[in-house]
Amino acid sequence: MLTTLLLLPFAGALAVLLIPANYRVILRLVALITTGITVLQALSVFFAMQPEVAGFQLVEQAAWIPSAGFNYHVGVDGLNIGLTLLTSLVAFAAVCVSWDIEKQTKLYYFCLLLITGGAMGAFLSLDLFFLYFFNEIALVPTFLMMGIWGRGERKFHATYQMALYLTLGAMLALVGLASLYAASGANTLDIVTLNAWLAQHPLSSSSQRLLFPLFLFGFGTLVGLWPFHSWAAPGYAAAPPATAMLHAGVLKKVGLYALIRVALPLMPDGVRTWMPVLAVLCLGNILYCGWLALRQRDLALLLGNSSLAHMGFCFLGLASVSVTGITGVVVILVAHGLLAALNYALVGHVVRATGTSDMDKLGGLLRPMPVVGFCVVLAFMAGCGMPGFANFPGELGVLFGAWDRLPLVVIFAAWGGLLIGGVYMLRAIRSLLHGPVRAGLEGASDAGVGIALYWRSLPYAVLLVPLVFFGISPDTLVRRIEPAVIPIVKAAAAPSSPTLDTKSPSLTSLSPR
Amino acid sequence: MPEFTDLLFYGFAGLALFFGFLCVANPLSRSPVTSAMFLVLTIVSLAGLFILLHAFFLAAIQVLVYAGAVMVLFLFVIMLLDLKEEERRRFRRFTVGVGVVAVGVIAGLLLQTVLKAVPYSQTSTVLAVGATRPLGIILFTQYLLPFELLSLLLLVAMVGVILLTKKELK
Amino acid sequence: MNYSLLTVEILTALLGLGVLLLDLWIPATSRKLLGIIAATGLGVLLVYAIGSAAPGDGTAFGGMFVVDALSGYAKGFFLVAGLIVLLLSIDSADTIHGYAEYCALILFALTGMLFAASANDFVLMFVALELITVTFYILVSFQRNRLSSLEAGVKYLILGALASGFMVFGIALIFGSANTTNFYEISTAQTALIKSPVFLTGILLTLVGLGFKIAAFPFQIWAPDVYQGAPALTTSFLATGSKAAGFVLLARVAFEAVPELTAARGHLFLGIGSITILYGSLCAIPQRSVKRLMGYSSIANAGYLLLGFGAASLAGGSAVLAYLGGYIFTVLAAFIGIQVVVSHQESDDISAFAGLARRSPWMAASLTVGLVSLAGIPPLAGFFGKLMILKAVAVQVGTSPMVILSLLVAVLGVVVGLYYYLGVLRSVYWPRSVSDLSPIPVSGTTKLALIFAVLGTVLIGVLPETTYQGARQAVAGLATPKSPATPASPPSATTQAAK
Repeated sequence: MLTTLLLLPFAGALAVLLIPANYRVILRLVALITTGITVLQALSVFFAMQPEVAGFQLVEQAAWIPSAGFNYHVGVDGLNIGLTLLTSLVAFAAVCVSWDIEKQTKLYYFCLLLITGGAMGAFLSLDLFFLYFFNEIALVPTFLMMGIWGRGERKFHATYQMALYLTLGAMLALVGLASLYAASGANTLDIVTLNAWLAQHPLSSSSQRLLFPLFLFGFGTLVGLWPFHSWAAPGYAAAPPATAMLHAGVLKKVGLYALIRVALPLMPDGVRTWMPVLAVLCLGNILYCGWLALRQRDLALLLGNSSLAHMGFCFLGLASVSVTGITGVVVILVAHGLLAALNYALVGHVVRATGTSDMDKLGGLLRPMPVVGFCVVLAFMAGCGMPGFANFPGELGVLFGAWDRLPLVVIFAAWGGLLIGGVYMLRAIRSLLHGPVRAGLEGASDAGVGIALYWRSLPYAVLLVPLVFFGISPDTLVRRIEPAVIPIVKAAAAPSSPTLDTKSPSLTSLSPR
Repeated sequence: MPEFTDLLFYGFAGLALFFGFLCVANPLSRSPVTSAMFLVLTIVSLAGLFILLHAFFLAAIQVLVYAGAVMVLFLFVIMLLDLKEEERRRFRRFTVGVGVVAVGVIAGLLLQTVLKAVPYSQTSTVLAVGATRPLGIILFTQYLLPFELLSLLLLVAMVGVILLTKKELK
Repeated sequence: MNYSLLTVEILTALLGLGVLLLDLWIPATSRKLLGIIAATGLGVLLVYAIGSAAPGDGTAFGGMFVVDALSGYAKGFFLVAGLIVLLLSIDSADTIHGYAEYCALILFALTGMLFAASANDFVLMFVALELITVTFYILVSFQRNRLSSLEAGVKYLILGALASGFMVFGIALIFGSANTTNFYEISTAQTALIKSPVFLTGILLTLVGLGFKIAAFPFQIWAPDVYQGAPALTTSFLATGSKAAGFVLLARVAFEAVPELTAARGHLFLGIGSITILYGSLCAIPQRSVKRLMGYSSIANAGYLLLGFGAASLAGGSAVLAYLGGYIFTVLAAFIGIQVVVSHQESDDISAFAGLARRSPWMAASLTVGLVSLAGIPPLAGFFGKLMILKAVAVQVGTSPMVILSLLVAVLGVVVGLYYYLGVLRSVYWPRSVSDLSPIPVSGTTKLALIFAVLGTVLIGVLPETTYQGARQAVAGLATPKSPATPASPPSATTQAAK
């Protein structure tokens, strides 16, 4: 079942590759149908998974590179079930908003489906080799899409910056994975086996403290952890809408997902040493990036920085190492994925209709484009954490979870994050949608005209409906997530006494064997 | 008697080095012909070294083939090409400096090795190897494969020379 | 003596001679036929070599020539490289002056590589390397109406001769101190030998010669010039076959002849590897000539491979061989695109690649696969190789600070590498300005070569098990003794029993 889900986008990509380049409509239909089926498959997986049950479900395994200890192993639990659903929804919406791509259509859909498949694979894989493998598959397609279909004067710069930052982060994480493989002695990167193995034979405290920053900054860079965040906002502003949706909505989440999956449960001593550092860094995201968002006059840059600020909340939840906090993080991952995708889809539409994303040149858009305007209002409300949207329970969980351990940080985060967020979102709504219609924008078209309006609004609906649904009934997510988070938090809080005892003569490991 | 052979060895080795140096960097003359002549002397000194090792066949080959045939070819080439420009060219100080440093490092390395080396005791056992017969036997038994492979190497060189020097470009 | 062990080598040499002779009867108008014959012959040989690789382990010529897992593994890749280069050359049959000789020389160089893969003796190793190198002197300067080609040839000749000189001197010192040049005999006496400074100097000088072949740090200076000046076809073979032969021989020396020395001095490899990576990566940044860029990239990749030697373990050795296998396909995939563009545009500046995605999607795809794999990004072969090398090196963390340093250099190298590979891709996919968007025609044989190379790169990346298993067996096989005292008799007995 999961293999089907994983292979669907790749099969679609292969099909796109085989269709001649001038059959544009067929290419689009293939992409649309593939992602559509992916959504259905992801939904059926979502409901096939039993909530409130710990452990991995729907597991499928196959030997892949047995001589190196890497195996194909997929499965879902609370951490990734929501994210797979998110991936399929965002991919479908991304194909929907790409209807107007005329240039090199074939390459475009090939890249898009490859990114989708990569993200899906990264979330589903329980072998860290494959997690990394799939995550990196998406890199070059992202680069190509940004370069060929991107916009703005700073496109080249932003594209390079993003590709290099992402590679730097990924390489650090790869060195971390290789060292983990070497240090654990389990001869595998399978997360289930590793968990069991390291529970019996924990790593020495010193190697945990060395390895943990590799993961933290490696995967952290993929998410935009301050001070490695500068690629994100300009990158997404330069990317075409579909790429920004997939990357900001889905791929970026792989970093955080991997941190929760790998770094927390396997290295409790590393967690203890480094989480205070993370708690400070996350304030950098929340306050500094929030302040940047406040200063932006470009809609896309504003959203990019606000998205970084949201990631700050995720890092705060991570730093709390509490069940409530990390459950909140996973909820935010799903909610913010939907929200970021929605945001970039809407910005994409505004840019297409008006030719700019500069808020000084926009105004009164609610009148010419009521449907899009309505969606923008909802999206921005969700962005400042209004109840009723899925972000709200997530952020609440993070703040509650972190209160016990990091009250000071929570105060800063709540004040800074929520207040600054409210200010810039409301200001953006005012200058974008209200007031007199700017000259030249009267004719700006809405999502579509007549009957086209309905299916042209489909991508926004696809993203908004689950956002509201999970906001009203967060329990649907939470009762799936929590059973998966509890063992992770327990492992992360494991006492370090045995490791300290056995590894205290750490000099022996330095002497030649 | 051993002292005398040692003396001869140092004599020939020193001459080989001296002539080799003059062949590459003669302070008095930069003419290629002079260099070639010093190369002949170097080769003759090397032949002397071979004789000291009782490798008479190799010594003869050294003189006949290298000092004789190959050098004649060299001289032909030098005289056919107009190499006056070569005489005028001077080395830059930087290049010479870098070269001296590089050679110094390698020479130091070798010197250190030689000084550290344990004196060898088993030299006298393989004295007869240089004669024609044992050389032929070893070439056609133990080293048959590399020897035969060399024929392919020579063919390649021949093909290459013909190709690269053929006059017309079709 | 078991001459059947040499079947592939002898047939390859004969094929080369045959092509050379056939030129007399084949009219000048249908020169393509020569390339097709050579490629077909090589294809048959490849199938034969793969089919017969398993049973025929043994030694010949008194332990000088050995057929084992490593030689079988390496020969497969050499033959593939030769086949792809020959297929690629067919297109240029009418523009290459002396095409028959060109094909024959490629086959002779290939023969040298095949012998190098089986060399179990310093003398045979030297002769095989010389056969490769001398052939490449000619192949590099093949376009003698182009000054840059001749210049590259002369540079390669002078530096190559110097390296050969070092190597001969080294072999003489080894013979002087060990009284043998056979790898196996040296390995039995290595514990005592590696204490002798004369022997160590000999090994060091031999490594200088090999370092030149693989373009490792202090001996890398020729690579960019020669890569740039040589005809693209030659460069593609130089970057794959010749380099791989150097690495296979290095593996034999390091893991069969003196494994104890490799284990004791692994940090030397790590240090040289790190510097090589840094040099190759950093110097590649400002390059505008894609062939020259590939030269620097080749240096950087040699650095990664040397890191695998630095790990000095079964994992490290098999990582090197797995990397090498993928590297051959990868570089060929990249060079197919480069060769077609260079022969069409008469330039290898990055701007000559502008808009290639529109002009020839096939070539753009090939180049993309090659460069992305070189950058080490999944799902392509380059990623798997780099991962295995990192893994093998990471195991050594804690033995020396040099290990951590080399890991950091590897990370830096990959990021910088991505920068310049993406620079080429950018020109291919979204050039700043395109003057010419006319389609570039691609012939059937080139497409066939392309399919081989791309398929190999993707398959080794996605399904690396076979390659990695082969590499492991190859390295593991080096540790088993190959006694020259009983040449060929036990293997022939077993093959007769099998019949």
